[in-house]
Amino acid sequence: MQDNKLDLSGLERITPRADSWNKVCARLDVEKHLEKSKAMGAGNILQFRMSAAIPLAASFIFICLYLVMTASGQSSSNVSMNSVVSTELSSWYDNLGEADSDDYEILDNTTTISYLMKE
Amino acid sequence: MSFKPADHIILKRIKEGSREALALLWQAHSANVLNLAFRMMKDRDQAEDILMDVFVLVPKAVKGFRGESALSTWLYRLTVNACLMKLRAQKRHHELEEEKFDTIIEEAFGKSDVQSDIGFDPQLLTLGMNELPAETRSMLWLKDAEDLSVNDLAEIYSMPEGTIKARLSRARNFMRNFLKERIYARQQA
Repeated sequence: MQDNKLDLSGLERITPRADSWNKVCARLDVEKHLEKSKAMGAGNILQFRMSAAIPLAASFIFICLYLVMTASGQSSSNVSMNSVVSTELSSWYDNLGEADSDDYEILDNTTTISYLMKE
Repeated sequence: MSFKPADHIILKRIKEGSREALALLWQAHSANVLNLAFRMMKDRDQAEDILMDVFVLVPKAVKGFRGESALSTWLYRLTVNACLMKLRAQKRHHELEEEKFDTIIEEAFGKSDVQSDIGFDPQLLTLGMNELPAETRSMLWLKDAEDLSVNDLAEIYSMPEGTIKARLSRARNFMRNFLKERIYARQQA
């Protein structure tokens, strides 16, 4: 292999330009600065996210509470209506017009009696 | 090429972020990196760009370097990869440029009055080298001009030694035939 070698010594050998190293240093400095600002930017975004999460969570809790309250309010009014409407009253409504003597007679009688008592 | 104790210290210091250690690496290897890039890119400005790209990359890339090969071998590998990436990116443009460049050299060469020992004429050697693919050209440069071993080349190009030997052999045959043909043509003229 060694004997087969081509003599390339005649080919031009170049050396780095005088300012190349300074350019490398400048590029490294820029990269370092960019990395730093990127890290700081990421920190800010993280901070922003954290601070945004608090009102977001509060809003969510508020909405949840509102929904729960609304739902419970609706169900409680239904319950109260059912409890208020007594069976006696509902049967009175059901029997309206079906009885032989209507309630006006009774009303009339009692009114008459009370009037007479006063007299 | 084995890992030297000095390499180990430089490597450690670069990993710690030392600019001085990087400067030492620059002093020791920048010329070799530049010449390899110049052989591959065939352009001084682009070779300088590659040299700077490689040394800007070193502080980051060194974190993944395990020190199994010599620093110089590792630097050559970075250089070859950087050159191949750049060449691939500008392949079409580059091929056109290559044709133009060869024509210009050929025309100039035909008109000039060069020495009789054409075999060692740098222009002719450059012309012959430029006919080779960039990767093979760099292999030939590292082996015959920089005296790297086939083992080192196998590491740099991530290829079996047999492949490297075969490629080198083909490249040398091509170069010899190219030079012979040119010399013959010159003598006939």
